[in-house]
Order: sequence, then structure tokens, then C-alpha cells
Amino acid sequence: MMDCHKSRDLYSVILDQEASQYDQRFFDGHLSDCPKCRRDWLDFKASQAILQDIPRVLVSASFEDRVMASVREAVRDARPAPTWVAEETEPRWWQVWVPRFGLAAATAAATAALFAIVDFPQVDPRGKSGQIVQSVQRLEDRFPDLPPEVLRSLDEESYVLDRMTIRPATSGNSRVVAPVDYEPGGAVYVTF
Amino acid sequence: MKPETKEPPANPFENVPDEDLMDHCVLGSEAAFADLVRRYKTRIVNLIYRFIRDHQRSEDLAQEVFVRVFLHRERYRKSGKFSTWIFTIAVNLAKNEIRRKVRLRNTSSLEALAEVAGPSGFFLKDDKPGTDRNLERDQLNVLVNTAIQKLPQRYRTALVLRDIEGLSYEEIGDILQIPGGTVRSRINRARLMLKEKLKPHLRTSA
Repeated sequence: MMDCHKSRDLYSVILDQEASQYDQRFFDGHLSDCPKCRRDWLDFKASQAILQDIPRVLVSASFEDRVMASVREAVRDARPAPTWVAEETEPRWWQVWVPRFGLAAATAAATAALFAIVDFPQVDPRGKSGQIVQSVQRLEDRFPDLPPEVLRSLDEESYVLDRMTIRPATSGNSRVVAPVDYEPGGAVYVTF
Repeated sequence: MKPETKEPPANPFENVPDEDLMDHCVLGSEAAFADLVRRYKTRIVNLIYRFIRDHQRSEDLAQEVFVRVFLHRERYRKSGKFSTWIFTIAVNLAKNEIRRKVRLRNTSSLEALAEVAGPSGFFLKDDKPGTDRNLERDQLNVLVNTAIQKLPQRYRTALVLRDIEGLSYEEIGDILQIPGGTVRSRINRARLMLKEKLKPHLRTSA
């Protein structure tokens, strides 16, 4: 009876060929003497044969696609939020120089732009291109040789378009009042 | 002149071991991972099916297994076999599913669960359907699956891993985290239980 119990414990290692030589000899010896265990052993092997024969479950054709879609979705969801810590790279030349001289460069650019846009009052009494002459009196002061009839015809605003020439404005309602030859600067055009 | 035949592109991972494929996966290769899915999908779905006997749910859980494999691919250690690792994940998910089902159905035993699950018809069809032999075989399949389902979980797990999936004793020990002697005794005990359940249908006993 004890041997029957022991032989039953050896069924699997015998079937899987993992029994020691000693156990194998014992098992063979016992089965040759015990018809009950011999029959039981046959049942054991038969049940195992059935187990080996059970068919595998079919897997859906779309299974792989579903897995890959799930994986992509899971990876997207699991991706950590991007941080502001950028990868360290070699700075570009402008990243080095602009901060250093930024203020100076900006000041220079602003000054240049200011000069390009705004016409500052000309110190030269003969005037400068684009200068607005505010009054007849000022015009007379700057151009003392201007004929009186021209001066009389002047209104509050006139335009000096270059150093020695007064020309009419070309836009708005201004009109030429009196073209006057004016030496040494050439023709004088007064508008109002 | 022979007409040109378009052959499908050779699979670059065809002869690459699972463990090396995982290296590619760690580097982000989707193709390598897809190859692992192809290799293991049937085994994983079948393994889970032997536990829960619900085909659709088995596929859902298998899908979850693969997602976990990919998401945690950096945790895989090459010192162990990939099959052991993925089977461990599958077995754990299957066990969790059983626990969840038991909780949901408020049943206290797996035997009761087995009755709820019932037999399934998602098996490979025979080439010659309709014969008495096929009918007998189908009935036998249902019988065997029911018998497996009725085994206590610890024995069923060992039996499925060994006799359905063909894993070695050592691999089963790694998956279940039990020593070799316990693996041997569980497998033997499970097989003996199964034999008793199938005994009335075995021709040798007639």
C-alpha cells in the first residue's frame, strides 16, 4: 500500500522523464508486481493523452491590430508632460552676442530710425530738406534776400525742400503762389 | 524567362530570440514588438482561456498583457526567459480576473464560477465536420475543459502551464514563485485529480 502511494507520487516525473534512476527502477518494479497500479498508470497516461489533444482556442484575425492600437494609445496616455528643461546645445552666435550688446545695438538702431523718420530743425539758416517753416517771420529771417512781394504772399506755413530752394508741397490743398527766382539757391516756390 | 513573382518581404526578426527582440522593443521598435505579439498571441489567449473560459474576455486580457509588456519593457531583465516573464503577467491577470468575477457574482467557490462560465465553442474546427468521431471529440474537449476548470486554482495553474503550454518545471517555479519540489507535487496532484474526473470516459477503464 505504501508502495502504491509512492508510485502514484512518481507518475508525473516518470511521464516527463525527469525521474532519477533509483525512482525509475522502483516504479518499474512496483508496476510489474501491482495490477491495480498498472491499470491506474494506464488511466493516468490516457488522461494525459487527451489533455495533449485538446485544440487551441482560435485568436481573432484583428487581434494583432487591436493590440498595436492599444499599445499606441497607452504609450500616448502614459507619456509624461513635456518640461521646459530643454536639451543643452551649443549656443548660436547671436545667442551669445545679442544679449551682450543688445542694449547698445537697440539704442543704435532706434537712433538711426529716429533720424530717418524725424526731421530735426536745421541749425543752418538756409534750411534743410523737409523743414517746416513755421511763419513768415521766420522765413524772412532765414532768407533775408527773399523779395518782399514773395514774403508778403506767404502764409503761415511753407515748406523748404532743400537747402536753397523753397518748393510747393505736392499733396493736400497747397498750391503754388509765386514762383520766384532766388539766387543763389535757385527758384523759390511758396505754398500755403 | 520566368515571370517575376512578388514574395512577401522577409521578416527581419524571424530568427531573433525573444530576449533580443525585447532589446529592440526597449529602443522603441514597434516592428519587434509586433513580432512578439505574433509569436505569443495564441499561447497567451489560450492560457487565459483555460482559467476563465470566456473567449472574448480572454482576448481582452491578452491584449492587456501585451500592453503591459510594452509599457514595462524596461523592467524586463534579460537574465530570465521572456516567456517566463510574459506568462507571469498573464497568469497574474487571469487570477485577478477570476477574483473579480467571483466578487461580482458573489460566489464563494471556483466550482460555482465554472458552472457559470459553461462550455465554449471557440475551438479549431475539424476538417471533416459532422462525423460521429468529431462529435465525440468535441464532447471530449468540453469534458476536459470543464474538468480543468473544476480543479482548484493552484493545481489548475500548474497543470495548464505544464500540459497546455508545455513549460518546464523550472519555468513554472519561476512564474508561480514556488520551489521545484512544490511544482512537481502540484503538477502530479493536478494530473491525478484530472485523471479521476475523466476516468469514467477513459477507454482503459472500461
